[in-house]
Amino acid sequence: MMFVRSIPRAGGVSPLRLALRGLTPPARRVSCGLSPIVFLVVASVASAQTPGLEPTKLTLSPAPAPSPALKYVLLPELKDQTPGNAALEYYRAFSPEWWGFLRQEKTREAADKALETPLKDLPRKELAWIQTSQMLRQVDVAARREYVDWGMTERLRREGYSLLLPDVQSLRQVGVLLAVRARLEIAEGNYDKAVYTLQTGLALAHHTGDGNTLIQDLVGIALAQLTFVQLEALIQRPDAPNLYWALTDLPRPFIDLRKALQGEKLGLYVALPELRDLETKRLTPEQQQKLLPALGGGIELMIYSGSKPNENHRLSGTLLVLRSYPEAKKALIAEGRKAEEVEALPALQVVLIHSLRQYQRLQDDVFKCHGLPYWEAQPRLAEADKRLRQARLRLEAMPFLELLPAIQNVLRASVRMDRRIAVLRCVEAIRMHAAAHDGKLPATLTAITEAPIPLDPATGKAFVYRVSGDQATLFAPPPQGEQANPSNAMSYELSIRPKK
Amino acid sequence: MSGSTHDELAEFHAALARLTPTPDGINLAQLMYQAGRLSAARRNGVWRIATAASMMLSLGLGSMLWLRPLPQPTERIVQVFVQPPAPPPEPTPPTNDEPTPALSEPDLPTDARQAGGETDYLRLRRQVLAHGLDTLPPPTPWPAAAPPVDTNTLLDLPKDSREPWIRFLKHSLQSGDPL
Repeated sequence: MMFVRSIPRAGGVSPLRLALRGLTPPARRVSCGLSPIVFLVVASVASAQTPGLEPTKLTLSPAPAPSPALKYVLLPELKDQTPGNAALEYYRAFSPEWWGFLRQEKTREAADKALETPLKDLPRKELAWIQTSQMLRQVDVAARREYVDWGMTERLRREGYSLLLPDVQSLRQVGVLLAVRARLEIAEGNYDKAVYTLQTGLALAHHTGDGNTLIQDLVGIALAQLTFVQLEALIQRPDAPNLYWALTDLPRPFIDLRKALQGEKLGLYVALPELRDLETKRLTPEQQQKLLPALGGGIELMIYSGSKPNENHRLSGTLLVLRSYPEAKKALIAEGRKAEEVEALPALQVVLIHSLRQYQRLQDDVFKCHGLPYWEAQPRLAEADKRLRQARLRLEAMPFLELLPAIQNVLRASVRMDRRIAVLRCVEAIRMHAAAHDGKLPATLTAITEAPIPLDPATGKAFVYRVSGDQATLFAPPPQGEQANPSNAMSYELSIRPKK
Repeated sequence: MSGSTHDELAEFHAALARLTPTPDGINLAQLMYQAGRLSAARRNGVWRIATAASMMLSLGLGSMLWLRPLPQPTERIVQVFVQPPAPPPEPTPPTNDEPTPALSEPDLPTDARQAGGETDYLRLRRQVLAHGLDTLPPPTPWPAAAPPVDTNTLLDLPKDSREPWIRFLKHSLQSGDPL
């Protein structure tokens, strides 16, 4: 071999020297010179594997589409529903008689542990009480009511930002118990019951997300994600049904943010009712006394009745009026108001009108993006975020800017869930293909003809699919410009169970 | 030969005689090897430095890769603002003109949230949007339930009543089935 010659007896020489001695001088130079390059390549590959983004491993069995195609559905259909408001039934499920045991710490810990335990190791006897729980049966009834009305609109109009949401966290606990029930049913092979429980879980999620607040939307998304984890457990069972059409039948988006964004707009006018007629009626001296400290940074104090702002807020408000009045006056005249009308208004009112208009523009720049596909919304949200930062530095839209919610996180959570549904549809399509092709994985997603392959709702492009031997990787990459992490990327490793 | 030349030779002979011969002599092979090695080292000086630098860089990168810390769960400290309890309302002195009503509504706290220490929507929204749903306050765990009160005692029913409606009512209450 041209690079190696016979190595003399060791006699106490270090292994490194030995290794180098075994090479000819040219080979030594090449190997030493290349070693940092090799390490650099290894290091870059290691870092590109995005530590923290663990792939979800699914071992699947081939399964054709069921016949009829919608034999399984994941939300209760009209034929299964009963008239009435689901909210009343959900609140009945909170009866103290049913929750005495469920609210104990050890019960919660047992349920949380059951979510992490592999199906074969579930302590079925200890958890059997979940399958007979009257509270969960009540939730099953609630999930099959025709509509839900939480009564939040009226409460928002009355209480605004002072609204309390004591029930949302308990709804999450209901979701956990439903998930454990689903796991028990899957472990026992009762797939029809498991699908029924998944329907309840997704209906609970959909109903929760039908509220008028962003927090309810986020809780709805979390409940849905919890249910989809159990769905992934179900489709991995050897004789599990194919749920492609059931997943396709789900509404898109699963949780619509529209109502919650409109609910957010109500809060400001409840907190400061004087703002409702700000453009049309002259502020009274009492109203000005109330709004001046709000302008000076005390708006949160203004929201909560009984709290009094301090003199610092009044002083800050006065300084802000002195600073902003000339610009505000100029802007109102430029936007169409008559100069004599503007000059007749109190300086505070002129500044507040201008600030409120700036706030509404900035707010709508953000809120309008929710109706766009995520890949179109993302750059616009980035621009809106930039304008918000500039507005903060220039003290524009004060004091209302403090109340603007960061809806980017909510949008991201919503699209993440829609992405999961799309990825699971791909997985089920792969199972269909495997059933028609002797258990083989498709070479590419375009090779699947049994069902349409959805595009990635976050990027508008196809998912990344690669086959390597007996395994396939299905990857949902992060949106452009973002580094991959568990909140913006998904990775699945798929393998088909060999035939027995 | 002259006498001086003979003396010089004799001196030279004596000087040589004083020298001690080396036992091994010159190892020609070793000499040639060292000469060749030295000449190669002069030519390979630059490569040696490059090789050494590459090895150091490789070791450094390798140790960075090896010793890279595993991702640690990050603790987030979430500050939950708890409103101080509202001061009790000042008692209004009774007037002699108006009769004091026998029954009156209890005075509610100015801000009902303060009584329960709960977080209002605005603060809750800020926490959740910034740090996720796990910052929602957990439901307060209840202590271990006291032994349930006997249904007969609770409803003041006869102990062993055989009346069908009473048995039906008890069954409904115990099972949770709708009436």
